[in-house]
Amino acid sequence: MNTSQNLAQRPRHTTDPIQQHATVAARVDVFENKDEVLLLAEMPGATADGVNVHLDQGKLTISGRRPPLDAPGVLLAGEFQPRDYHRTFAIPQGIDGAKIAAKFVDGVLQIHLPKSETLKPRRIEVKAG
Amino acid sequence: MFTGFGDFDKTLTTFDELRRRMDRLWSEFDGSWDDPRWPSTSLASSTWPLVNLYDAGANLVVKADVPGVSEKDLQIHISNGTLSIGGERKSVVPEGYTAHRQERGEVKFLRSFSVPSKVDAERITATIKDGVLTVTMPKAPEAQPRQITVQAQ
Repeated sequence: MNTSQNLAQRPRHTTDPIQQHATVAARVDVFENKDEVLLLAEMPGATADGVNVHLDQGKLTISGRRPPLDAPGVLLAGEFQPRDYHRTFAIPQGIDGAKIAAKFVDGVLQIHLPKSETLKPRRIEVKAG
Repeated sequence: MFTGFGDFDKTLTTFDELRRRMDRLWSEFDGSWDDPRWPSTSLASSTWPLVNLYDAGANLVVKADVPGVSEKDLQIHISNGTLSIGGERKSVVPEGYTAHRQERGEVKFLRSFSVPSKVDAERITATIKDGVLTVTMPKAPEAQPRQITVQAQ
């Protein structure tokens, strides 16, 4: 009795709208110079606070969430569905995990992975004996 | 004598299996050529960026994913009810770096759309945020949604 009353009194359309985004691999560019490895990953539509960079046991995981329901109105013509992003990389030995820095600019995540001192190229002086 | 039919059946079964696999392929494919699971083809590079058009009541809104494109690389024109979005994203290796992997290709694009209702060209705005281009086109007064009250006689 009580339950049926509750059901009857519950206002309609109170549930949160659910929108599930498919997740795709972000496209990346990987560059290297003598000091660092630079990784650029495309995540259009993700917001800076929805972007995560996670390093665990030599695996770098990047993910980006698009805010749900960002459609401004009724869809008249659609060519793409907004997607979340995810990708994992194996990080080579000798990357200084503590100094990894990431920035999110124009929908592109830029991750700087500095090499540790031991990995940097070094010229060893040869002394005449 | 009848072994021939057996072979024929086998061939048909093979074709059925082939068709099933093709069907599955198409049902997994959701129409977006920008899907990294699908290797980029010439079609992918000719259709970039993909665009969604929304009707937001007083405005028409065009949204497109253009990661890595900044506002100065974009040209947006409207004339005679045709909106065109053009631009370029260069794929450059940063100074002093060597490339290991480049999946983000170079794109040069120009796409035109006919706008489905009259818009006020003077008040069109375009913004770019987090790699998403949003073009907001206010509808012309005659195309604005309007409530018509029914009068009882």
